[in-house]
Amino acid sequence: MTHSLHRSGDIESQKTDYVWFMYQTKGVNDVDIKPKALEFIAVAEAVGSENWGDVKTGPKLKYSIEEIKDNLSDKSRIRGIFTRKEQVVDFLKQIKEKDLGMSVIITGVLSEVIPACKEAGVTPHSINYSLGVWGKKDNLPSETTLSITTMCGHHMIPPKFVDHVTRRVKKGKLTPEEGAKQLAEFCYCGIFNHVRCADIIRDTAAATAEDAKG
Amino acid sequence: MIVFKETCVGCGRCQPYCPAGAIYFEDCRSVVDQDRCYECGTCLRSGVCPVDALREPPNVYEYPRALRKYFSDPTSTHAVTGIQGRGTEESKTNDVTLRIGPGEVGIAIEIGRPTLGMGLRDIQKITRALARNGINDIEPNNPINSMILDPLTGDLKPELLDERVLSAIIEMQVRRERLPEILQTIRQVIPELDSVFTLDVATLLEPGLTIPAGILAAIEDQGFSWRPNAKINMGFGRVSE
Repeated sequence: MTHSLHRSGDIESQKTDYVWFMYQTKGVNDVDIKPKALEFIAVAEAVGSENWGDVKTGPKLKYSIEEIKDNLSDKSRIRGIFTRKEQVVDFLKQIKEKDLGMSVIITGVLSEVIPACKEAGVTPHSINYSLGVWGKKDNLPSETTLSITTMCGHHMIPPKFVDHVTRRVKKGKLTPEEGAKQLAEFCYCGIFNHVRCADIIRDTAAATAEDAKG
Repeated sequence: MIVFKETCVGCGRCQPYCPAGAIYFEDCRSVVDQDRCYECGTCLRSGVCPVDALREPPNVYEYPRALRKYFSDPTSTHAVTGIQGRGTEESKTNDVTLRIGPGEVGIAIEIGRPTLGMGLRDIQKITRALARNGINDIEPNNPINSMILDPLTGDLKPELLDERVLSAIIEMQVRRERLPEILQTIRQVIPELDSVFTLDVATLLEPGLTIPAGILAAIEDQGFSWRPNAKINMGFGRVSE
């Protein structure tokens, strides 16, 4: 229920972060889903989904699209990301038109997603909203690190690896984009937004450089 | 996970790949702290070890250690739910199942998340608090149900209490009027926990694409607030012809 819900960080940054899902329902419409999954993938690719995948194979940033398609099965979970509201609108319009009968979820900032639904002529059914993080929050990594690690819903991204990548970017050994791609490979669902991640790493590296000057 | 000592060359490359921070140096070789490891498989999948010294331990699918893998490795299929992941389909397929119907609310408490992981004793603290307040509404298909020894006390099976997982989700759906008492119970148990948890609530959307006002009032009254992002089911799902 909470896989993509608790992404965090600066709100303007989150406005460049949308997650899409195709969901089959166990015991109801979960047989022979491959043809429908291929239609979802075709629309997502046409709209420019920057990353997507199937947890049974991995993300397209790590595996070839053909390999992911070949491995599709009734146990597959197809999901990915968009970085612009316009992509969400196009995706919803086309999927609605195809009427495939599979559940579709979009996670994102409400002030962007609700207008996108209206523009696409879609009336959503249910909403799942986050009431935040509670408990021993003092033990958590920094807000910046969390804004990156929470983009993998299963928390496969080690905070130590975020630090490792950020250090290498600061030293000029990796570009922010190369670092973000390394981090994306941990997220097997394909919902890690490497475009947003590169922006966060770039901003962090620049802020550190400014601090060093100051 | 284990590191095969005879093979390990002590390069330490695997260590930053562990979400649990469980890999460390001992006698110039990498070693996995078996208590901290969630068996998520991230280090192995990364392919980072140059000599293939990372291996799954022989007991990784043996009860109760197998729970670590089922709750922590998204590529594994949970033995109880038959789906990948820690929870159930919940609101993601609500347009097909109507599991959360009119006048109802879904609640999910995901312990260990973000990023810290948790010992299963933290789950017991919450299930006990819920049981003390007469709340026995955990979703029947949720894997946590199979871990509970006594629903009246909220006690977990004792052999599970020393296990650690990346996270687990307590899911419930109840009538909306019960939301305040559940949120109040959750708030009371917060100081007892050793880890963190995320909290979320799911409902049907009302006309005008708004969240029911009574839900928002209950959340505020109990000292919680909602974040600006949400997960929205577009209502495209249906039962196969």
